[in-house]
Amino acid sequence: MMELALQQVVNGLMVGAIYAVMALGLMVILGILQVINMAQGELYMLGGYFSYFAIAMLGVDYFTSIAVAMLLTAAAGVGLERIAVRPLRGRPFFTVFLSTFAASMILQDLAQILWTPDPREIPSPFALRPIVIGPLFLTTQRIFIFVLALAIVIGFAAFLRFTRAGMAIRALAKDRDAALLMGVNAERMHMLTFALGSALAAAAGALLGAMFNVYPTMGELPLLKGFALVIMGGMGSVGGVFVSGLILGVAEGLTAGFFATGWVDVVAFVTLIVVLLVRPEGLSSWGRSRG
Amino acid sequence: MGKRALALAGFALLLVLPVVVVNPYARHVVITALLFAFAALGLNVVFGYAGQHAFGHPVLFGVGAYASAILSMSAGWPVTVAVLAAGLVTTLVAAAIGYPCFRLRGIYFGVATFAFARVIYIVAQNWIGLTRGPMGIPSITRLELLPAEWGTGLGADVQLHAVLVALLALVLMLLGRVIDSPTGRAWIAIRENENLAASVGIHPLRYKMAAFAGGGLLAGLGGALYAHYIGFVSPTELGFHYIGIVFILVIGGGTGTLVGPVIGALVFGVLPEVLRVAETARNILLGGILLLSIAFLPEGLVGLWDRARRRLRRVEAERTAVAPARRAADPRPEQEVLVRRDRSGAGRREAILDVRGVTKRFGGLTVLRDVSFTVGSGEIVGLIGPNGAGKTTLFNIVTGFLRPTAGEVRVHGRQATGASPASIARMGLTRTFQITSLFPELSVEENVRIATHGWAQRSPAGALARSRSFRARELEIQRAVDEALELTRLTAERDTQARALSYGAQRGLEMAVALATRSRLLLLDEPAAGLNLEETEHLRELILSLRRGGLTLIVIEHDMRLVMGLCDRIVVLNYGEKIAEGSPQEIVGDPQVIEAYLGTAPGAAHHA
Repeated sequence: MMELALQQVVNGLMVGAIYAVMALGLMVILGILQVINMAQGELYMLGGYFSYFAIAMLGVDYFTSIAVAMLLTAAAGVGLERIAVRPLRGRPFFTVFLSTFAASMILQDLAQILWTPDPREIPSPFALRPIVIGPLFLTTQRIFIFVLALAIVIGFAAFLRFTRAGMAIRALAKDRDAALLMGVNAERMHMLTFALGSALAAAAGALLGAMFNVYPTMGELPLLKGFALVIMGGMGSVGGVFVSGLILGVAEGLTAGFFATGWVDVVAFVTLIVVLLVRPEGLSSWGRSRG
Repeated sequence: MGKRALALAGFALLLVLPVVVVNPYARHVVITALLFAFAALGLNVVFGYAGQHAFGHPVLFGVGAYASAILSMSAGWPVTVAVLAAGLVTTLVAAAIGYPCFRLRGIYFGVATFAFARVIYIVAQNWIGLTRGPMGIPSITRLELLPAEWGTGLGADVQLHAVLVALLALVLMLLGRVIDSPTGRAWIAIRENENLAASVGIHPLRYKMAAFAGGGLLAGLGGALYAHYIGFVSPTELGFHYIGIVFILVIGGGTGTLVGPVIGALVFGVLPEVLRVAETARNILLGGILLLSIAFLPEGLVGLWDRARRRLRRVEAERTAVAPARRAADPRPEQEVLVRRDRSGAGRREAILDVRGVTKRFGGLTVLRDVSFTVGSGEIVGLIGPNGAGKTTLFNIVTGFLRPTAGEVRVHGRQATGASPASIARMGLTRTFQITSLFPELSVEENVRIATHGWAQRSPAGALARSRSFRARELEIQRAVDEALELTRLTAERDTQARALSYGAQRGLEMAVALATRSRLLLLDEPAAGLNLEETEHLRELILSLRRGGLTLIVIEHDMRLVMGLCDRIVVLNYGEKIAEGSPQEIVGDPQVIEAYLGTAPGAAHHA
């Protein structure tokens, strides 16, 4: 019993770290453009597929494939911003929300048509033999994934804190008008933000895709869970999102271990609902609620 | 042709449609569209009229379908009973979702409703004992409308078609009555400006809940009928696509218009069917249509039609080249409806507002410290003080927009501390805002009519039946609106959009809105700010005439000439403390007041 719990906790931590990567992508787009990007799940899906195809067709190794996936998906994200977001600048928040929702539907189906609904497996470069630490079974792959997710989160935080572009992004999120007056180029920052958010989604997709599989609808749940984390993390705090991700992952792991796997996905939504109800005021601080 | 005649003609055509459309499959598509029209109408109530981004709302269509299927199949209820019960169940589910979600506003509310929708989906997938899981519930009992032995000779599909069209017409008629009643006005008011709605006595939560649950009832009934028509329900009906479809129907048809969702359903109504047939490309289709309707049909088909008609009319007007006669504002010196009621109280001087020891802290900052004063009936009290003295904060506390850290507020001797803005407005206390606050998209007249909410006949039954007392009250409301417009010299502008008014006229409209509430105590937050001399003079006359009619007024104002000439008594705030109170003469001579406004003269400290 104890072993099972421990094992589920460890598994949950790994999945949770990737959810956090997903959430950071959503968060940066929400913060800068005031857009809830419903197509973020499809960018995640693209990340998984690009990683798969990079290995299968270009013959690169798994690590390079993640970088390739992030680059290509960033380009796709920039395209998405051009088509579904920029033309609607100035229209109500909800209109843009619906437009990205529509984009998500279209992308999902394109993937179904181009790549069939069948799940594909990203070949793992790691030995399948588990490492046994006491009662725990860990695969090198999972450890690697966790470490990489952690590295991405830290890298993202460092980017926001220490680079000029990161500073401009934080300024835009804090006070848009003031940032624009200081000469921040909004158009370029929007593009950069979408590229960044898409690359994060792609990383998450490539990492989780290697653990589970790659298929066209794989992005639906990570999108919603990512959004739950953005809110739970307190809208705008990288650390908060990461910790929330770990908590969610563990909660899911335990649910899967002790109840039934079918109910796992309820955990995120129930958590989201509870968090929204317990501290709705946490929301107003960052993601300004607009009509 | 009037709108009503047009709608009637449309429905008559729709009713006889099966005469032309004989292909059973085409008839089936039309029936599906009609069923989805219910979900679209339901979403339109909460999204279009009440302006709430209820993204997850369309899931209630599937909830109704499941409820009716389970009740008729597992519990063995007769179909009609099951359908009605399913409507009720869906309403309850809607209420259970809406209540917690309405703690949030805007897009967060929308995401929360969507989270609930996903929970419902997962429950349907996993609670196999109740829903049979992903397999769905097959061979649901069909609807039987007319007993076969009546032998009308009409096919089952034609019967259903006719019943649905009649039902939709009925729903639209009733919905139209609700929209054109205090309830509908409250929804629109909340959509346009929730704070102002609350400050004229509309309880936002109550009406948002009514919209969400009422919309749920419509969606649930539609879904229940759908289940018995198609004969099969599965978790798909609770999924993404159906949410997308219903939004397309509403947005494509015309958000916030009465017939828009029905038109949307008829035009885009083939979509549910396409969805069943087109296996792989269905999302591309749906997403594409959604994108296109957002981009090119922001006001929907109805909006397109209206715009075309406006253009046509303009062309016509230009051709006849007759300048539209301005409606002359006949000056009626005697006010009747608004002010009359209050004569009885004019003589008595009991305290109408009692502020006791109010303190307000924001974190470590004390904005108000132990402020007390009372206002007697029929008084005009000025509240003055340098910028940042805490005047507006005090207004916000008195009107329920902020809670005091300590102290209490009594209105007519009744405890008002911590009550909601709407409840306080209903106690007969209305405010205006320092920064102009109106329902900008609505006409001048609509702005004022909304404000009568507190004394309108609000029972939905009266509105639905158009009872005699309801109509009488609406007539009285019309008179009150006319009078408020006259008092504020806005009669000629009654059809103008509020945001198109000049600044001075907008401030006048705010006064008209406040007046129409029939509150006996008005709190005016810098009513003269930005007005020219003539407008200020009119404001002064208006305030005096209101007082003659028995109203009590508290005025925050920086225009000292106005304050001194107008007020019986003045309360002076400085740095959150009351530093003086008295008649204008006393205040002018008060050294503390002079110091607060002008600062201490150099060397003055030595003399003190």
